[in-house]
Amino acid sequence: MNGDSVAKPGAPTGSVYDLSYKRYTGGRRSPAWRIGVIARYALVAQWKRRGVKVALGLGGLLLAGFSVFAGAKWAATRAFQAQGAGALVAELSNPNHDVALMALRAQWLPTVFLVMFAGAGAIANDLKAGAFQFHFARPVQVGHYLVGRLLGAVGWASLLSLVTLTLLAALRVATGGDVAGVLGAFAAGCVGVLLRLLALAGVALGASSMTRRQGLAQTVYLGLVGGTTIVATGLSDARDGAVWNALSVVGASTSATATLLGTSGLEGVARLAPFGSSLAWGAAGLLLAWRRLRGAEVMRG
Amino acid sequence: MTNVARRYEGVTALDGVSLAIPPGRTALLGPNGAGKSTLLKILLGLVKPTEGRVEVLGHDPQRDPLAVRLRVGYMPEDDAHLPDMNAVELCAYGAELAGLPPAEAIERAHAALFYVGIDDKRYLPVESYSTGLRQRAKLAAAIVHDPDLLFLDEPTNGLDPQAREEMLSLVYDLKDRRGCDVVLSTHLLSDVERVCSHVIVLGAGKVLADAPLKSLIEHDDPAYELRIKGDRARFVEALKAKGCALQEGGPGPTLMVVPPALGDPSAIWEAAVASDTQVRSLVPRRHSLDEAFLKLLR
Repeated sequence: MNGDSVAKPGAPTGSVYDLSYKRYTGGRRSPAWRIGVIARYALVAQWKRRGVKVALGLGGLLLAGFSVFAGAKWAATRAFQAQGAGALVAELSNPNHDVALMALRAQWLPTVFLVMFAGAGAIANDLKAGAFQFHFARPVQVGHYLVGRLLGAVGWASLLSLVTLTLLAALRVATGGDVAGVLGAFAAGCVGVLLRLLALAGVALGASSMTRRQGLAQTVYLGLVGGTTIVATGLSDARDGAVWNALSVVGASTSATATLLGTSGLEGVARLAPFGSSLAWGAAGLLLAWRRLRGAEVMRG
Repeated sequence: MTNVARRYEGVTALDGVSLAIPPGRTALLGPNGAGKSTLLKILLGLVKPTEGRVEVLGHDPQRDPLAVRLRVGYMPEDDAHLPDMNAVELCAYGAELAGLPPAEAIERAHAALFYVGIDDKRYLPVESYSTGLRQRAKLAAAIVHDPDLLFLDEPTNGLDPQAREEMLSLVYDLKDRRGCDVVLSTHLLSDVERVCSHVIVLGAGKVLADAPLKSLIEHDDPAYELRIKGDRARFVEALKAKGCALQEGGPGPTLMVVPPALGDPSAIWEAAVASDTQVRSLVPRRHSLDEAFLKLLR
């Protein structure tokens, strides 16, 4: 390493290595880019964590298992239809709907864990490591930071969900599904994935903003996701009302997709419940995180 | 900033502060709780002043904080890294947040890390670094986007003498050869004396002094520090005969002498000749910054 010493009289005498550090004269990108930067670096950092890789591996295994199961089911359906039992099959189940519903059911567990690893510790870790000062001493606003963290929290989970949806849709087309029907189911599945990820990430970031301890934030997140699922399932069974499923942070999105496909059994205004619930969970968590960020100690000075 | 105040519940962190930070290396001095950190955060637009007006590089940090932070670098006193990131990623991240394209950000991250003296350890996670390396990494992250003004909050905290010297050299070099103005917030007076040309002293939320370092450490009474070889008693008698006054405070064999004519030490020379005494050194007396600082706080 080449170094040279500061030579002026009275100046400190330590070495300064200055081969390439010079003034920057290039252009700068607009502030909106900061959101993408925050999300991208979060995804890169998450990839170093074993938990994220394990959850993705679990998602891959489930994807393979469900693909085999769905392929066998749809091939059998095709065989039944070839034997003239098409009406009966259509009455029992619409195979195109499986594309959306099976994808959501296949990946709910890895999705919950991926958002937990990526989102439930995100703000807590930043609080602990002093990363608020790092971010907010730069041209970054609270909104940039929060949306960037939201995208970072759902990045890996959305990739897994969309790959699953796409693969099942392709498999369905390959096993005789009509393209228009499969695309409709695919779109309904995308809405479900979006709602699920919004609700999960909102809850994760909200929990994360309440503490500096990642483990505590993850426990609160899992408690809310698991607790609401248990309560929703219990109420739904006890009162024989599918609308109660909308209470679940993770299950509401499946109900919403089923509603779009017309298989949820919900009628009238109740059809809006799973959509409203998912949006409310996501918004409540993000609002909590936003309020905490506005009052964080770096702002108080 | 003009008449800036910041009050929290029952606590006044800053009280009617008016100052203009000149170009160069400026020290922000003060005891704990003097309001230094609050002042820096107001300048960055992170904290809203209760009253008063602030302008940084032509922008109001409250109205246009992003424009200020684009041109300002901040090295906080506490740890400020991101979990699971190494130093290269941390600096490149900081550069991209300041709007640099990814390729430029990576290039400047390496340049900044090289500049602060982190070489082969740059790919290790920052949380595994020693205190000295963390301070260097924080400095690299603060300068990677090429700020015009740099706020350094206690940059030499926890550093060994060699690392401290190197950090001060970087602070010196940043202005001297890179043209980046520096505000150094510290309570280490020796650091200030080494690198700063202007000093702002805060105490209990008020500005106690805002002056060039030179004027703070120059003594207002025209005494001279003398070291002699010869008969001390005889020399003292000769000094008194020539109308010189002697002061207390000279360390060891040093004499503190005030000649009768302000700024004219000729009476001292005459006394030396008269008493056959050899004058080994004669310098105008200077305050240390410690003395000036303590005097201001009193």
